[in-house]
Amino acid sequence: MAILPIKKINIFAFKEDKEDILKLIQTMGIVQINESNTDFEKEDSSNYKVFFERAVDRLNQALQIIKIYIPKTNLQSNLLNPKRIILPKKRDEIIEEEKEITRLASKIIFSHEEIKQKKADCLQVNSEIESIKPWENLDIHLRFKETKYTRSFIGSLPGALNPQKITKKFSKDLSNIEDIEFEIISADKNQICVFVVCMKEDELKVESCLNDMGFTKPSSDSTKLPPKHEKIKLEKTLCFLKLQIATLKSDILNIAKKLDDFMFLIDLYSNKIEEYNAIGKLSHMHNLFILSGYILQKDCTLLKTTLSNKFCVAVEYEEPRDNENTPIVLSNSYLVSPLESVVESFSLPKKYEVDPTPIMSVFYYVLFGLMLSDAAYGFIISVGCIFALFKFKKSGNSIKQSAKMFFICGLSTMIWGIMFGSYFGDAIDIISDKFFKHKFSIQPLWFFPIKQPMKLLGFSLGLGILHIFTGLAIKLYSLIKQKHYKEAIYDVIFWYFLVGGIVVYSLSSEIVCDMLVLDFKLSSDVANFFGTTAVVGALGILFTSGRESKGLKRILKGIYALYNVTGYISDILSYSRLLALGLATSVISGVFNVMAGMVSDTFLGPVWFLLIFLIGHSLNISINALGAYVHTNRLQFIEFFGKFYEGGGQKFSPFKLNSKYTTLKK
Amino acid sequence: MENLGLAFAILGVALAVIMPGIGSAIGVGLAGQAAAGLITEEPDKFSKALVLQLLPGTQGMYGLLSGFIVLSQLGLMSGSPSKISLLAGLSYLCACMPVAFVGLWSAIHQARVVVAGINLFAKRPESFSKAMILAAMVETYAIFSVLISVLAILSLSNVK
Repeated sequence: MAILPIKKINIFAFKEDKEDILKLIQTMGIVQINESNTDFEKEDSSNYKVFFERAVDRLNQALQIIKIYIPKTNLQSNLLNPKRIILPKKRDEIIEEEKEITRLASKIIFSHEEIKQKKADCLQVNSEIESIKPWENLDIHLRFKETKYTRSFIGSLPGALNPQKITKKFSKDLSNIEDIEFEIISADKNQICVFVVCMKEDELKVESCLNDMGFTKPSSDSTKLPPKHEKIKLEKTLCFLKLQIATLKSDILNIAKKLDDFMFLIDLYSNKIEEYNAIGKLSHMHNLFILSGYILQKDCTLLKTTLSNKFCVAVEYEEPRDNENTPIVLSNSYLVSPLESVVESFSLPKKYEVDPTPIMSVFYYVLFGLMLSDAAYGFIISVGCIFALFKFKKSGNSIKQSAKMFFICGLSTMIWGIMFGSYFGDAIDIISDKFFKHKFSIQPLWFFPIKQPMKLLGFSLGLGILHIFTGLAIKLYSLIKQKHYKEAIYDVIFWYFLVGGIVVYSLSSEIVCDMLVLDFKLSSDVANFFGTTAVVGALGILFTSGRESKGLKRILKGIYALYNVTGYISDILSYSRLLALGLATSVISGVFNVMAGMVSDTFLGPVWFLLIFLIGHSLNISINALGAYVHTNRLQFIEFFGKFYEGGGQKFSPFKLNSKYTTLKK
Repeated sequence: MENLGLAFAILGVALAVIMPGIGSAIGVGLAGQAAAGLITEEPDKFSKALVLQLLPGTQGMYGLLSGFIVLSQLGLMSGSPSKISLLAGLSYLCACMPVAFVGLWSAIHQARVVVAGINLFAKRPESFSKAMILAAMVETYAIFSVLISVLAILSLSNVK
């Protein structure tokens, strides 16, 4: 239908009712509160807001942490998981315990940090244990250096030397030293741990011999315990750490049972934040406050009666000023409404513009179907969407809307598929030929695009011209509605003359008709008539487009505007993608059918056939449906909207209860 | 030498598949890296990031499509290649050129737009469809090229 009429609203009430009134308005969710730019004083509610924002932040963090420890928790209310239902009794409990719950949230965050710290400690202890392992057989501590007469060396040699080599070198280099004790504690491929004792007078010799071989002292360790005991001690520490981690984890898991409470509190607090936001926008004077904003016209009486039944208030409505940028709400019928989101993703219309959704929707469905154009694919999409509609009955509106949109797109695809005789491409021909030895094919209702591509090209361009001219017609309508009659003639009618004239005139030429396989022939009178219209249009544009300027500049601007005719031509040619994408679907499904057909007479032929068929067609349907979707949007946004649409409207965003995770059962 | 025409026609098929294929592989690769970056931060956006990643993949399909039409017109799919003249073979080769060249470069440039679009989408999730349209603008030229290639190839069906 259209853009819904909106009114400005001012509510005057006593301060003591403020919170209750705001709560009521929030529950009703039909008023958008605006910052009133009066000179009255405002209340600074940012302190409270920050308090709740911090709390929400902490709760959210806690939720994320719970998700780490219980990976299967579904936090988001996603497609398959509708929001959690909270009973009123439960709600009261939660509100009573709200402090305790936020404390638990902090505890989870703290425990999580603790666990991280402890895990790091564990790693360190582990590496210490690893480094001490080779020394396990040593009976003295690693820092042991000397007795009164002896000097001992504890350390490791590179693992490349094997024990025999070391013994050999020792006996060779230190043959003149008698009192020396050499012991290999352990050996692996990385290091050989040795313990050497010698008399103090031989210290230097032994040391240099050891250094020659690449002797290194064990990494510093200050304890005085022999390695074996040290290891036991470390292992105890490790056990203890692990125990602590386990306790912390079980704490978190225990608290995680309160997941619903957390979620509900997040929703509750988020709404509180909204409320404080709203309070910040109110104006105050003496013992009154003023709330101003926008409301849909249809909700006016409802709000007024509800408010004045409960409170002592004055509600005042006024018509927004003409130049005021009021928020926009679109309202359309059941079949058209899914496309509002497409319009919104481009830009909402301004207040004085026409809602383009209804007209656009017709073209949207037709163009999508034409690009995908396969009856079987359309059937699959539609059935999938019906399934989705049932499955997500309770979920959010946006999913249902897209399911609805693609259901109709699927129907359109089916119709075009029947027109062009495409059912999984030419699958029926191939299957009947390969498995039943009798070629059977369904004839198209209209024609095979692959056999007469030029015919479809002509049709596509024709559809494009219709689409573009419809866009111009909307511009014409809105110009007339705004009583800009001159502009209507200058900016629309002349273009109709020029582009329409050129198109019809070109149809009279034999080359174009041959090319597009058109079997009619325009008489030269008609051709001349439309040629003249084109000239009239061109002259009109030439003299009127630069109407803000004077003299030569005006004509120059006119010439520049006339150059825009190339824009129209390229817009029309842009619709050739309808043919290209349509061919892409049918030919690529043909490719997969042929591939599948090639293996059909081998061993287990039907199985292979089915396998290739399924994989190929699911690939084709997904990539071509994506292509059809993207390019339908493009044709709408660029070629169609470009002709008339300004956009830039603000979305109506009422002050209302939002819930991300939970719904309250009444 | 009498089969030189067929050889040229198959060269056309090869180029029509090779060049857009390379382009799409590079393009989907670039876009995939950007998408993976986004998913590390926000795993929930996987499905939409995947849609964006797929966009530069279509050129490869267009190449496949043109190549396939040539193969089936040459009778190679049914196993009995038709004898065609050198002139016809060269014509097939030429007909494959638009999709071959435009496919290669448009896929790469489309991928750059997609990478930027994924950044846009990461910062403003509501701009998803805008990111998609920006990328589709580049694809237009690939579509035009495949259209001309296919029309040229189909019109050659009677030239032997």
